[in-house]
Amino acid sequence: MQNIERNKFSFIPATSDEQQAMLQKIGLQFDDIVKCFSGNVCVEGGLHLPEGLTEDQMVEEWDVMMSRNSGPKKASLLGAGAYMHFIPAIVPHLASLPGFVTAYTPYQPEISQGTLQSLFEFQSFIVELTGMELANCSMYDGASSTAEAMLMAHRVKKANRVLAAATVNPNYLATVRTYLEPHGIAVDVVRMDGNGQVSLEDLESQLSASACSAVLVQSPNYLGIIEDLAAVATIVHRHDALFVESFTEAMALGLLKYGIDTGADVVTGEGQSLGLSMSFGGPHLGIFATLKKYNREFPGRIVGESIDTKGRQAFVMILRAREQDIRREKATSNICSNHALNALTAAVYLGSVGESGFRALACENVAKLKKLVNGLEATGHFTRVFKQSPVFNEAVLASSIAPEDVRSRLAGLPVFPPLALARGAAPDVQGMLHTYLVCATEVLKNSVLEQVLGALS
Amino acid sequence: MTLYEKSVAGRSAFSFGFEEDRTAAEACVPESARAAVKPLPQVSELDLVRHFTNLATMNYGIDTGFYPLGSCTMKYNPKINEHMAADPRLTVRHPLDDPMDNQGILQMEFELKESLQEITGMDDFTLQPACGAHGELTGMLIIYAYMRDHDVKRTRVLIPDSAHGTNPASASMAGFQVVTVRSNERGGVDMDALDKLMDDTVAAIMLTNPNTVGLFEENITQIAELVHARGGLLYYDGANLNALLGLIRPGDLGFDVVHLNLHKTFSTPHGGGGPGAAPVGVKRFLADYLPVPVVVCRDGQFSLDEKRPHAIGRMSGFYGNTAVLARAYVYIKMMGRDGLLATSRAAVINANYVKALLSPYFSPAYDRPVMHETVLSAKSYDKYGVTLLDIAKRLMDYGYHPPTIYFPHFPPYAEEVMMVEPTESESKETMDSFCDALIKISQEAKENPDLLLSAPHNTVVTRVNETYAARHLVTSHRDKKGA
Amino acid sequence: MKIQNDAHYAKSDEWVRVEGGIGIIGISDYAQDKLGDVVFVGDISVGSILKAGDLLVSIESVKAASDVYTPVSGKVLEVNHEVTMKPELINTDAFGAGWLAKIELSNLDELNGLMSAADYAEHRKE
Repeated sequence: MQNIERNKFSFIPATSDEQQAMLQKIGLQFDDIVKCFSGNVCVEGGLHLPEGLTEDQMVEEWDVMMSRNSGPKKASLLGAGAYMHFIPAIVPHLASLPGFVTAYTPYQPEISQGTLQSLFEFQSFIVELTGMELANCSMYDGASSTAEAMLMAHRVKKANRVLAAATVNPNYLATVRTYLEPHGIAVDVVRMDGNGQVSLEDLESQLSASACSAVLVQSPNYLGIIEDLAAVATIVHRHDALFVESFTEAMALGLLKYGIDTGADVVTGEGQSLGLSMSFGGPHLGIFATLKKYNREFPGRIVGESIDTKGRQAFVMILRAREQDIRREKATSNICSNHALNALTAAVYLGSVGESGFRALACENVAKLKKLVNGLEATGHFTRVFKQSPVFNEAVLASSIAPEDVRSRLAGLPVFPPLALARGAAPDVQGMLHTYLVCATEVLKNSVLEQVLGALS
Repeated sequence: MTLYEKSVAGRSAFSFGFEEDRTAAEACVPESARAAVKPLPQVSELDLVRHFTNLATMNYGIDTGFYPLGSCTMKYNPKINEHMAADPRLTVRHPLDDPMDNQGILQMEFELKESLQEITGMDDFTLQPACGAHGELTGMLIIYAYMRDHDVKRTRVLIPDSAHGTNPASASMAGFQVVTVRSNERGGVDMDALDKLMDDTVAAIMLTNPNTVGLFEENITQIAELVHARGGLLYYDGANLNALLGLIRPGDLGFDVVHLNLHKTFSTPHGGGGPGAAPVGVKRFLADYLPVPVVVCRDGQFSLDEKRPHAIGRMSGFYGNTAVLARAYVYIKMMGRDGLLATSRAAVINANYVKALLSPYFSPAYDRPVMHETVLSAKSYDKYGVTLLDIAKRLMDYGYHPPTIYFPHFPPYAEEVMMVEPTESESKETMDSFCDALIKISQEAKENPDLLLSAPHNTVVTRVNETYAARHLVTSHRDKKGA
Repeated sequence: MKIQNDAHYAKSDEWVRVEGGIGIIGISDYAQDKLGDVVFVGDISVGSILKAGDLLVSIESVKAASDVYTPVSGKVLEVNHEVTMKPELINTDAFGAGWLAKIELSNLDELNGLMSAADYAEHRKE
């Protein structure tokens, strides 16, 4: 075995002498302990990794590497599943308290009330925002949460077929397919109509064709358009399938109806907009809410309120018999760790913006997009597609300007350029060859918005 | 009290300069789709700060004290990790932005991938899975896809009785039928049982090594030969990799697919239940099946490869938990080659030391040196009317987080076992005091069992009534209002 | 451990008591004790035809889930709705108020394959 200068490693306290003393107490040398390896290929001469860095060296290397990213951004015309929003300073401050960050899953409730109560509060907020009866304490992200909802629907309804609207975010649809494929569940797509919404006609005819366990519709959908969820629900329920409502932009929860009011059996979505940074894709926050009648069928952990031996309010994980550590291969999901700290972050965020702030933010998003779209149309180089359909903070625009040109015009500005959609994603507009999915949120301040319009004029 | 209970109409913790007309915006959304204002708490900023600051103190974390939760590897989470992961050059980056504008992040991910390949002896990695069980599902879907293309009749997966519950649940979610393999009298896989079960319907065996009892699977070479010879694959659950860093590599032992829990071995915080990250590594012949996209490097430029026709698909909306990956990257860079070896060595010595101190009071089931964790029995305290749960709760009064209790479940571990994993992070003094506390509790069990039965006494709440919670099912503020 | 003398027992801890060709099914006192506080009893559909050994219902305690199998074949005539509302009846009165279902026995010979109270007591002797 290699001789190591242990004191070099600040994360390992034991000195050489102490380890010798411990080995003496054990009554073995280290080589005796690892005799169990004999007969196997062991690492000879050490791993081919560089020597460790000290903290100052690490900071320096990190800095060099991160400076290879482009410059800082103040706003984003890019959405499509991840959104740039204002994050109040107290959100990261409170969510990074070590009591929350360095705890494990709250298996011992007496010393985990902080995590447990925070998650209970998160569940309470999600129940209100999604209009459902019961919310779990998070999934990994919107896409995997949606895939789990489809699996749950299959457990309940048993039909080996589900439908998904063509207007669902393509990455969500791909994740659903990945999760459902080994179970032999067909995922059929319901066409988009001329307004950029799911075609009710095609939905009706596909549901009539053969039995389905679930129908998945996203609103606002991938093209930014608000779907008529209640109309979809009526058709779905007539055919005895579960209706899964999904969203990628949680800010829309501040203004739009979801849940029981619009006929949902499950509401799933992405909670990144609730105080979490985009962080190049994660960790984000999967939201999963459903009806109480499915309380033995849903995936993931949930916290319940209880009392301690002195009758005081106390929180504890409940409905555990669905979970993998108890039910093994018969569990409702394999999920174990989820995104608890991000759920807690969302709870802090919602507490921070509060009832009126969350509504006002949702409205600000709608208004900012409207202003941006109007401004872009005024340049003459852009025109909105699906003009009649209501949108939240994203919309599809056709343009005469090519993506590389858009990028270079915006290069000097502190904004992420919009997403260029592939041809065929939206109907062609004469004289405008290119299509964009454009996003605006409350962080697109008027000063920057003017600069964007100037650059694209 | 929850925030809703503290809410006072008209208070606000939010300060933001709105620029647009709210009423006009409301009118943009059709009335049928527009919701009434949804109830959220109304509290001041200081209310909110105190609320969550107080909640944080009601939690026990690694920063609070010793957290010997077996199988969970509760090692220290270096603060430099948090600092780097909060860098706005990482946090304020949109995942769909042009890769050319994100070369720094992609370089970090690519280098992390290379390090993990070297540490595990695997050929390629995906960084996409969000945590251990998600990694298992990814790995098993890869095996599923491979078998679909090569040997479609292989629909069963072998899993030892000692495995974590996630293993059978993941295999089942990936479309496989689960078959349990019993353990032998030395705590390893029973070779005769394996020999009988390993036929041409078996796609793979899922193993944790060291296993959940903290023992290295001695027959791993023979297991690999047997399984491979009969057309199956080997899946490595990396939950316990902390014992092997720099000593031995799953790839060299014959494993075809591995997942790693970055929130265990690679020091990223657990956050009270995630987020974690669980990269999945594969041997060359399975690399085409990795989910899209995969980080690649061509001519010094990093990009995300989406065009992979054999890929199992996507496991998440984007590319995985980048900010968690960043923490693990920093950890590996700082530990380096010798540091990782020192880690596993210290973790193994510490576990054996705790075992040596506690064995006279809590008997280990096997008389073998352990790797990074030890399983001990409290069965002998039955006669005082004291259960392991009581001992665990009493430990809280002494200021420690209890070990994992009532796991694993298989004979001879069926009852009253605790799994202690000190990790390399702990000093000799900490382990000495912890063992002293457990020894004192074992005395208390004999002399004053009531002290244990009514424990914990010094916590913010006493024992929580789980039966009451299960029968009342109050899972949100709304349920309380209804009650 | 309580034992009901006039019942027949399965190895997996279910009991059946026959009254006029109708079998009343439940789980034993030993089984409820092992499970701990029962908090949930799943749905059993009246009218379904079961074979001995088929899944009758899943019941849950705080820390475990347990599948209950019918020890005899036949048609489900009646379900104990009270136990669905108050699962704790299984803990307090496993052989009485905690019964789960009544089945019209289709094959009385099956009773010979089950254990007597004395044999079951021996089987579960601690």
